[in-house]
Amino acid sequence: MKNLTLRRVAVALSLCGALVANQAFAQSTVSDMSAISVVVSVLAPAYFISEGGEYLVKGVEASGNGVLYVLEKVGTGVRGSVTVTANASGAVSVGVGEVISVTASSAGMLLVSAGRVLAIVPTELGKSLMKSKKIS
Amino acid sequence: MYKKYLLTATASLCFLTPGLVYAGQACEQKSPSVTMVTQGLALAVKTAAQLNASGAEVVIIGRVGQDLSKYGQHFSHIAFAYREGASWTIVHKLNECGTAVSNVFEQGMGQFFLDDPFKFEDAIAVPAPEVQQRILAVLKNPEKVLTEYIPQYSMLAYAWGNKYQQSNQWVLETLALAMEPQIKNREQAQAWLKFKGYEPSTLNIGPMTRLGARMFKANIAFDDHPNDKRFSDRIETVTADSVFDFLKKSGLGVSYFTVSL
Repeated sequence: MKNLTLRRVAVALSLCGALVANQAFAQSTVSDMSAISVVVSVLAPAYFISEGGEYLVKGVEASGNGVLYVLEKVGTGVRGSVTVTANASGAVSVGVGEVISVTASSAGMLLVSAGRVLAIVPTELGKSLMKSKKIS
Repeated sequence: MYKKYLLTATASLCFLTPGLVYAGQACEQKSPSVTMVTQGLALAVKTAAQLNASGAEVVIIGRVGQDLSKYGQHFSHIAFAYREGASWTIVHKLNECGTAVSNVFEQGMGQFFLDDPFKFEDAIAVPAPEVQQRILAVLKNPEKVLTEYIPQYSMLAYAWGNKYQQSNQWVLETLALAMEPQIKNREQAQAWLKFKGYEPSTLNIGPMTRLGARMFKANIAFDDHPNDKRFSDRIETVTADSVFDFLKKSGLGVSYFTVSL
């Protein structure tokens, strides 16, 4: 009897496996692409973001364009702010006291927290690469 | 008594697990990794440079969104791309995450590769110059570009049906519209494609997979497929690879290249 029950469980699990194991096919969804915000303005000395490094988040405020982050460059005490577009996915979620890093990419500087990209400060080339508009 | 609990628990696990599996795939909301973003942007820059060097004004571009090798497919998603100065605009149809709805977007080349691809590789089909001009005239005409579009979406929409429309199907039907100005709707576009020899891919998808997909994914349906094909596991749909094959066979495309990191 015990064997019969176990067999039933095994059959149930194998059917379950057949149902879940095969992600049928996929093209593309909108979600992943909206996960990177774009920095719309940087108020700071010109080199503040462009030289990269680590930054301490000193303040977070809602602004008309999105969210304004007050940053202080670690080791220098130099402060500046960046305004990041609000993100539909809510991906931008760093808080005061956290450290973010800024690293270069071929389209602009990336604001990074724990290995994840929060936002991009696009170059002119980057702006053209990152545009997105729904037309339907 | 414990046997009843064991079977109930097994059944519960079965019905809960797919939600977890699928939720973590198509609808992920977390920020992308640095590696993915830097590589995606690098591929975008490299692709745009090669497109500029090709002299093309309009192309059809495909990416490898995921591993489809078990279905005998390589590229997963195609789009139109046209040149604006030194940059390129992608026009394609995207599924709104977790729903059965889709929309057409104009995007930059970077956005095209920030979809967590399986491989950082793309394929470019360059249409004949006259074909490029015909496509461009449709893409830039707000009254024309959505002629073939319907919002109802199924990832595996029947290639010759009009109940749903997946991303690759919109590109293919819009190509037909560009080539034959008399076309006014999807049925006519599909008739033109049949006449020109387009052949959809036939994917072998068994009943359990169909059931699982239908139960747990809002964006997959099979009720548009003819019963004789559906119940013999033959799902005919528009794949990226089949569109590239058609461009080659029909002569609408004249050159091809791939770009990878």
